[in-house]
Amino acid sequence: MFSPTVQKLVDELSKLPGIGPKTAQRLTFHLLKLSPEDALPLAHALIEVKEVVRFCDRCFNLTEQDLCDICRDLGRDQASICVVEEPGDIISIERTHEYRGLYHVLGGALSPLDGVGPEKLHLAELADRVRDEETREVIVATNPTMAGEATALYIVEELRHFVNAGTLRITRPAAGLPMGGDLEYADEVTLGRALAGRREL
Amino acid sequence: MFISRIKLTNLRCRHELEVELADGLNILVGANGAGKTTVLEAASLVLVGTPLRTTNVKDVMSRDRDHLRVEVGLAEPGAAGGAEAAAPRSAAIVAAAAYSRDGERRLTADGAPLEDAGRWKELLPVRTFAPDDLRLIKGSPRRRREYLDSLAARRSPEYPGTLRRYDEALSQRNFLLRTSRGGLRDAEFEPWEALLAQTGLLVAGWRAAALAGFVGPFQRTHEELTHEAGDSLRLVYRTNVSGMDEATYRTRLAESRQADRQRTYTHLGPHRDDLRLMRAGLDMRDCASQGEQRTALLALVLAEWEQLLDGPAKPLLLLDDVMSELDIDRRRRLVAFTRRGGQTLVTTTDLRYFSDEELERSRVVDLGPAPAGCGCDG
Ligand SMILES: [Zn+2]
Repeated sequence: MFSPTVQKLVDELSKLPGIGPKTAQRLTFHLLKLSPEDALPLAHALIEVKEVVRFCDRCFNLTEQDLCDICRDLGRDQASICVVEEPGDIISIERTHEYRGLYHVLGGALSPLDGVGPEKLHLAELADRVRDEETREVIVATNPTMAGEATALYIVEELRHFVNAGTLRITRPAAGLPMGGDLEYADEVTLGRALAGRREL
Repeated sequence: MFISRIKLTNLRCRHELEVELADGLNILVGANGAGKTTVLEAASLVLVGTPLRTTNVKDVMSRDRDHLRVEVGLAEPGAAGGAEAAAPRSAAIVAAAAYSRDGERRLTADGAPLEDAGRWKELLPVRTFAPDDLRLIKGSPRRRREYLDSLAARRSPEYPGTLRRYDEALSQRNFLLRTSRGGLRDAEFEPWEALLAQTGLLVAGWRAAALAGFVGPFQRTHEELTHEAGDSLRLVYRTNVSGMDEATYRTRLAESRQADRQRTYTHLGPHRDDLRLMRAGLDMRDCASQGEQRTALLALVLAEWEQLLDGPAKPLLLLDDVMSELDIDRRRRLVAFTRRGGQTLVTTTDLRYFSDEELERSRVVDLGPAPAGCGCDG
């Protein structure tokens, strides 16, 4: 058995996604071998990120202020919202330079098996924004997985009355993204083309 | 590809056994308990990933041992020679499987670990007939759905992916059924039901199409084998979503939420499909003799095997103790079938089931008497 202090680090590391107990041990031993000046920047970065970084009040993107850079940029199309699962997806889409509107980060996708129901995602906030911001287009760019597809269908139902009232169109990036894939790993050209050729839902 | 060599440890009655095989027809002869079926068992464990007749590997492990291991040498057929050519000494690939009594499994290709037997299914697909295994006809519908899946996957490359998507949506809906206490919230069910309807109809459609394309070859094979008119035989696809469009499917799912919640699972959809083998309008499961059922099953296996012969990888045919079941004409015809291509391993207790000419053109592997103290049947 390790000393309680070492064990605590192993336990904390193995809580991270994709890190099993063995990897956590390996990382711990690696950190133990480092000099304080090599190891402590990691601890400081962790503290700083938790103190400084937060979710945007409006779109749940990552930010260090109340509103994220994109929400504060009035040059962007204020009547268009692109819905994504995670903040990382925004970076992928920004890289294509195909989109100049706002975003809305759900914080995941519907998956009852993983305990993710509608109340765990920022879905109610999306409907509020569409109403308050008089949004004209919602682009549902959830991942082309079953969970992402189900979430897209859920959003369509939630926003149906805006569509029926003729104030909103809902679109989805065109097919061409690999099924079961992840936006984060789609290359820029494919993703750009899919955004440009989005279809009505 | 064909199997040039099989080496096994602790499988059924044999603690050690090594045989060399040739492309084409191989006749494994020996007394009961000599290890004929054990050789087929070994091929199945490595290339399919499961034993021949059971799903439990412990059933085929030597009783007093805690692990079993099989090594299969695979080789490319030589340009000349055919079945008479000597088996090559060196294999192109060594496929191995090791199982321990506490349930551990290790599959390897030339020593490198494999996750499953998927690679071998592409390189050397296996079709097996064992006369006492009538599970495909009499057993649970799950086996028949798997059979449908293998037919459909060969016809439509998108089929396996769509089936996986369907299964995922199904697990999600079943989970919602089991966990939503009190009110079933429409908004939570609707997306999964829409996806179920979308993928479920694709799955059912591909299964129906695959089966429609297979009935003809099946009837022909049955006719060639038996010289009896095969047109009264039918393979009938049963699905509870037949004739539905997506909208109807969704409505039916929505209507059945309460009932499904009591059952704790979704009852509508192709995961409940079945396949019926009918003769003159009657289900063969109820009205045919064991012998007739076996012949029909043999025709099913051979017809599927023949379709594989036209594919990119020649299949391996495993026939366990089939000769004693057949009359002399059907034996001749079955041997003629195996000459159409690929490698065949057939077990027998008696070489007299084969003509001199057939023996001449085959590799005969004599496994001798049973090892002392054996209570096995193969
Ligand atoms: Zn924002």
